[in-house]
Amino acid sequence: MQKMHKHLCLLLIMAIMAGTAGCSRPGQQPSDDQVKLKVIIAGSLLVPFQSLEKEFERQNPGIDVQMEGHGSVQVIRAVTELGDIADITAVADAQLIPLMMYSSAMPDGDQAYADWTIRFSTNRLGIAYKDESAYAAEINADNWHEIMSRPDVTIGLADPRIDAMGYRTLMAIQLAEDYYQDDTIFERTIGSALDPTMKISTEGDVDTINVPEVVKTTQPRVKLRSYSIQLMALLESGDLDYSFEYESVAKQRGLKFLALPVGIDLSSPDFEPQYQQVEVNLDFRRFASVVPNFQGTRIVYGLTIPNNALHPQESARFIEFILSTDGQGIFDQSYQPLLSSPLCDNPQALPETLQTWF
Amino acid sequence: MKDRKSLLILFTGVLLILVSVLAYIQPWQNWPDEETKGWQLTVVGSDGNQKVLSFQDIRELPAHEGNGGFFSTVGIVFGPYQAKGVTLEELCNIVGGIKPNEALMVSARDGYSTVLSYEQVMGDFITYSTELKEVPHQELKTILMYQQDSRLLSDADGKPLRIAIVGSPPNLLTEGNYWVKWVNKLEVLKAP
Repeated sequence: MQKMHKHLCLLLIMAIMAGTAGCSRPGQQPSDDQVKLKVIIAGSLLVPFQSLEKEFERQNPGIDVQMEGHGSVQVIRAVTELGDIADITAVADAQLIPLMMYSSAMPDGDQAYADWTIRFSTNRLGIAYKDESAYAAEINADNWHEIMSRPDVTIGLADPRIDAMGYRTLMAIQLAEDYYQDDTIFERTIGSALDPTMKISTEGDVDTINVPEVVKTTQPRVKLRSYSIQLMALLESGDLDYSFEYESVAKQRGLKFLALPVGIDLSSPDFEPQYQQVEVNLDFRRFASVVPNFQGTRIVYGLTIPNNALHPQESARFIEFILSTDGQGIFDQSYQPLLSSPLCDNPQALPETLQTWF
Repeated sequence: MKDRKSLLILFTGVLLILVSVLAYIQPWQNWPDEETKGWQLTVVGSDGNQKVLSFQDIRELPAHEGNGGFFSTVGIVFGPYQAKGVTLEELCNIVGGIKPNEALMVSARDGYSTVLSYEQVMGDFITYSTELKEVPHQELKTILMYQQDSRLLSDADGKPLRIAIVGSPPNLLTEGNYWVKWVNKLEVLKAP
């Protein structure tokens, strides 16, 4: 009887251990005193922001920067429509912040999700390729469109319905027609390979490229993929010759980068009137909150601290770090220079520590 | 007295083990909640013919199971999962089918929508390995998934209905923008 009693006690102990084991999950860490700073960013910022995170955490051991990358529209939707709480949002098109966050009220009142945008960096469009790409020794800023039209050259196109790189590619190619005074460039490079064709209408000085609901390619020389990262992977594996890409991303991946004339690369404030002569209009609305009409404009990156951020002071500290000499150095190493002077549309609404920057 | 004590210990031990097993397998994860029970999927044909299906209606349709996952715009891989659902082709057939040159608009509760070509409705996608290299596939199906890894979908995964692309060989990925969550409408679009 005593033996049975002992066995039963052992059974009870094992049952208790099994029960407590079921309650914990692998990898669960006890909470600590670190502030967890949630930063949601556009994909093309991942590389510089990963370096920023590392150095910032080294200098601020009480803060754990936790980053999440998406397409720029999705970065903002995560906060304004999907209920994520972010401490900082940073996007590859600064216009999106006022467009989507200033007029959207937070669920618990009338306050908008954001009141200010800091424009902090820029980029430029160009053509990524490798030494092994067809005619790589020949391509230059004057003949790229002719080379990319050759039947034995494969080019990549990010889906303009899905990825901003896609519609910016269409803009650059259409701007090239005016720049090089050749109205066959769009058709020769990509237009002839698309089904249905993209209709381009002109009103005044503005050309509008209409992207249909479904986009398919009819020629194997043009590879259409949802995201530009897939095109970079195809370039790296040698399955693609050329693709439009941001300079920073191409160089970060060790690819060659052909710079385009500033009149078409969407990089210069001096050419804003030219860039605005092209628009892309999508025939279907992917996000109910975003009118799918994109005007050509300089590429400018913007960020903000949403008004429902949990850690606004630490967020401001991180932004100061981005704008600091250290931050500039990191961005320079990532081939994506900061603006020489950051801009803010509403400096009075900034946290006090950031106001001194404007 | 000692017998009673032993019985009590035995009973407690068995109870604890039972609770542990239940905590692990969580069978309630497969019980539809009120939101799921009340969910409506509107399917619209190219001629405007419309049918509204409940979650239960969808579960009673012929099911297809398969394996697949996806990746995001920044290359983060999700899955692969074992997915169970109804093929989009089956759902389109309820309202007259989908023809070549037609397309399917998939809309969701959060205002997101995407358009699939006829070929994509039939499962024609570029497929990737989990290392994000393009790889060939055998059979692919595009389904409206209601069960992922033997459980009903969580809200984060698109409860109760999500587009999934599944097939063979296993562990294939496709582009994440097609894996629409919280699907509440399918509309066959006429050829332009």
